Amino acid sequence: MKTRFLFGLLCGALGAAGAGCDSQPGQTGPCAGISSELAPAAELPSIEPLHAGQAHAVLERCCLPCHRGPGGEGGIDITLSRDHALAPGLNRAMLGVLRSELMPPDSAPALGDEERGRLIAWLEQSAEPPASPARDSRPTLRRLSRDEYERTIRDLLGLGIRVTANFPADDVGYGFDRVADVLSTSPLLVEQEHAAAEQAVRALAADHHAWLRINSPAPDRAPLFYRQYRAPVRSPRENKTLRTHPAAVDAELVRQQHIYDILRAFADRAFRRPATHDEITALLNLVLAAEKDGEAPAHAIEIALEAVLASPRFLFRLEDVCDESIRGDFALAARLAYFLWSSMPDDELFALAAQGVLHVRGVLRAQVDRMLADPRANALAENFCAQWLETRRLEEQAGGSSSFPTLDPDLRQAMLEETRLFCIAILAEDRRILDFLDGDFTFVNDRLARHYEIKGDHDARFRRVSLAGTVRRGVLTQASVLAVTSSPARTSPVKRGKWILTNILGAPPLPPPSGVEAFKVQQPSSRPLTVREQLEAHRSRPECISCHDWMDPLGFALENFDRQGVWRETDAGARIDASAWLPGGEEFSGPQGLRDQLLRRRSAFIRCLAEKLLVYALGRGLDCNDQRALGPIVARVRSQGGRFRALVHAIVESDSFLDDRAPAAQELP
Amino acid sequence: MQAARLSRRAVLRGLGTSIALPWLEAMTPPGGCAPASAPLRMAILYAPNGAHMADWTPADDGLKLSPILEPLAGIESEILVVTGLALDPARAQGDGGGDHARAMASFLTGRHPRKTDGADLRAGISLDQLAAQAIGQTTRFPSLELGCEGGRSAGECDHGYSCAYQSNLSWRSESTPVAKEINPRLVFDRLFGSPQGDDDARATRRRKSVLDHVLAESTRLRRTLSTADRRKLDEYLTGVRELERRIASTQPALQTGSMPRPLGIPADYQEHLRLLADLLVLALQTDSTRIATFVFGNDGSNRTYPSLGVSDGHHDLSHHGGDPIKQARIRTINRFHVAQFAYLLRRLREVREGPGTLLDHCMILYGSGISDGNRHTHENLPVLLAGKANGTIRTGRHLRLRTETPITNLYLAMLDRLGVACERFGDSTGSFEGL
Repeated sequence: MKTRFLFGLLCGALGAAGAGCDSQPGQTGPCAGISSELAPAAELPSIEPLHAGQAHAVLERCCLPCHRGPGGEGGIDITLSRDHALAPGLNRAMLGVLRSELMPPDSAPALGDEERGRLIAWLEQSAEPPASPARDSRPTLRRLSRDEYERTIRDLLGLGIRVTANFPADDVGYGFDRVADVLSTSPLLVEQEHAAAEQAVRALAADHHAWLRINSPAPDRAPLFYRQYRAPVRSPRENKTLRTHPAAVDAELVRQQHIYDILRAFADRAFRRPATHDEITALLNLVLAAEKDGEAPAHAIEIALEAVLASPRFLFRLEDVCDESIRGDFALAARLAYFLWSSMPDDELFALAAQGVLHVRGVLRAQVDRMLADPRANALAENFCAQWLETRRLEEQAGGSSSFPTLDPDLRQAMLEETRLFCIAILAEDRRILDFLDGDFTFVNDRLARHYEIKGDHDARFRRVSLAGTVRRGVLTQASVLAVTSSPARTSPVKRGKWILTNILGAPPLPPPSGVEAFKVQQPSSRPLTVREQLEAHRSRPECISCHDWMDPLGFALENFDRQGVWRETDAGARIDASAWLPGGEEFSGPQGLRDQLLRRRSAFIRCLAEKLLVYALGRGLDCNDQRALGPIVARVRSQGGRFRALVHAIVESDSFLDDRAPAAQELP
Repeated sequence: MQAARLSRRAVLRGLGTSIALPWLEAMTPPGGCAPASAPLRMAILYAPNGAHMADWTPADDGLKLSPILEPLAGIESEILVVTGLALDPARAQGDGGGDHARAMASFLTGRHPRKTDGADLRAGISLDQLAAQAIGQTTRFPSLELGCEGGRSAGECDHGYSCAYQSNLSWRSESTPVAKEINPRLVFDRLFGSPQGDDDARATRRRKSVLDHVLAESTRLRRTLSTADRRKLDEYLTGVRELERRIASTQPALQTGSMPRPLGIPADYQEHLRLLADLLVLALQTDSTRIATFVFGNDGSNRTYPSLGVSDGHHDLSHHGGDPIKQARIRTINRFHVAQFAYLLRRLREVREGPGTLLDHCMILYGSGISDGNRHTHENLPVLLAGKANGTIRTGRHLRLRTETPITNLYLAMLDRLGVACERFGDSTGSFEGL
């Protein structure tokens, strides 16, 4: 009975994973107040939390009538303990449902916007202490992901080559494949990285222009202190080869200085910060040793370039860990570049970092604008959107399980391309964030136009089309999203509902308890059941209804879209019933009704998006300081018109992003 | 025999495809003194989402095969069906949902994985990796990790567990999962060298100088890093050292039989499984490694089986709710996986090795971390052992144990047979009787 109750408690509540300060056990650092440099009080009035007494009164009025005691609605008991604390886990669950305005229901005494905001602030403030001891919250050393490696190699060498086809897939954490703790390095990957280094350098040597570029190094622009030991091959005493051939000293010195410069320029860019004299000298020695072994000079340099690409300083984001430059500008340049481009910084970023001015607010803003206008910023749309929307799971994975077997490859490709182009448009045209929900345009080719029954002349090329006069709007009605939230053989309102709660409202349902049995089949029916009817069976069980009553109805509203996103009027021979309701009881119907409900909760949506984008930008789960930074970020974005670039700026200028680096290596044992 | 003294490369060049000789001949020194006994090999095969246990468990203690185990007909004498094993670390233990992630992450580690979506992954070292670290240095590859699917590429994996838990069976350390190779061509190239690679002495020397440089640089760098960062760098260093050892190794992989270089990942799942099984046989036969894992599918896999007439996803079906039609489809999928296992065993038995067969010198574990996929139970797991493990396992039986016997007790017995001393592993409670 106890487990049953606990289940009801967990399942009935909608917990926003990562919404409260207790949400990342083991990861929460000391929760100092966030210094809101980016949200000056004059611009954005901060929300004052309710006093404890006021908060208790609001709970008494709006929540406790239903959620009092062990028999509370949905198994939720909001009665405060003797020391005025909520039951464990409730704090964050309440934040999720309050932010997304899923609770309290309309039938409860009204909770005004201001009061809601102050109640949320009170809940945030009274966050439960971390579940496990605080850990060093600075980021762990992160390696380049497979995609970052690919793009970095291309930009570093100036070659459009593909070298990571054989890399093992990266694992995903917090929804993204760029989380430091999850990106581990297996011997298999090391092998592939070394093979890729060989392949890349071979391709470089074979390309006249690229090779020439590498061999014509730019002058040294690094701040002097970086190479304070600098004494490049000057003294013959340092070099045995030279000592034995005094007559050749001059010519050899010039030659070695040139090699040194080639290696310096290459390593500077590959390591994303000026290489030290020792590092360059070690590379030079590698070249000289290879020459001594009989390698031709050009080949000897190739070996050193290969060593640079096989170096942990290239493969790991070490510049983030040990950066002694002014205000960590090289680390900042790399963080920006991997956030917006999924690749290394370009020469302009390096130059600003070398001058030590990249962190200056105006310079930083201008650089972010410049970077977003660059085609390389498509990487943000491609990597972020495809993982946030989970559409990447549709991509043909080498050896991936064929969970979408009936999608023909052309259609699958078209679905993915539509979503990619749509996201790029929002980013490139700096559109409203809400366009993700209600944008009345999309991109189709002939295959997709047929799929959507959009009339007109279409061919293999994707073109922008207006959705005026159709039911489709935004990402929710794109075939990619509708397909990825379906089961192989039918739609899944459960998956679609869960997807909306998780990816749009930021209020993911808590998992079912371990060992819960799947719903029993209904008595044989005279006709096949619709998906909706099958789920009704599910929902008739008390231990399931509390959770499924949150998820399923949101999915019911999309039942007119089949598992591939085609509009349909019937399922299993019966007319589609797209009526739906919210947990509070409010009724709506179909995609339009769903859209209206989501737009009403735009603040929760923007926060959800901001949270995902911040995880993506930082490459780690959020701690409580990051969580608290989200409020000002969202407020700022909304006050500036709710456009996508405003969100990117707000994230880049947040303390979480700017200060996400280690103090220079100091933790010597 | 002349070929036995040829270099591996020479053999490859000469034939275009790889040819393998059994280890005994390979290892017989020119003087002609055969080693005392064949080395013992261990492989673990993982099938996702449990099994329809009513049709799995044999009715009695003898050899009468259950419907799911029928594909083993003809080799049942090589099998030991083990009933009664439990995987307690896969249970919720207060962590709520996520049984698929926990089943996969705890199956070989015997440890309850820490619930995290990313920060501070923790499971435990896995059975195969522990063995590989103890005895793997004698072969070119300490271990081999094979599988048919990579991880999920976006979104949530299983109720707050990072996808790393659900896509990895092998763990090198408690925080480092070992990625599996899914491409048969790359497995082939790793084992036998790429025909395109210029693997001559000069290339080897170049590679070695790059590796030396990287090792020296990393060692210097390591001193300046914090503990957490060192752990990450060490993952890389381990890989570099392994690579270096392999390049330095002159041990020839000697060969019999021939296998063409696979083209890539076959579109057909069965073809994919069989190619990897062939490669596994070749790897064990040539003594390239003695330890392997082979993941048929990540737990929670929702793969469809169109060739078997199953158009629903495996995971969707596993929550059959008592529907006999869905149960029949689950049984079909289970039988299919067992048939692939049987294929591997037959291949191993075809290889003569000394007076016996390669299978005689193996112990192969086949199983899942879930028994009933409908309710996510973790007791009475579907587990098979195959191979006589150099005469230390009596096969051809159905071994019934007290329920709730930790599967890690069995692992202790397996480690013991490999000569790896280990008193406790994961949640083990004691020694294992009855093999």
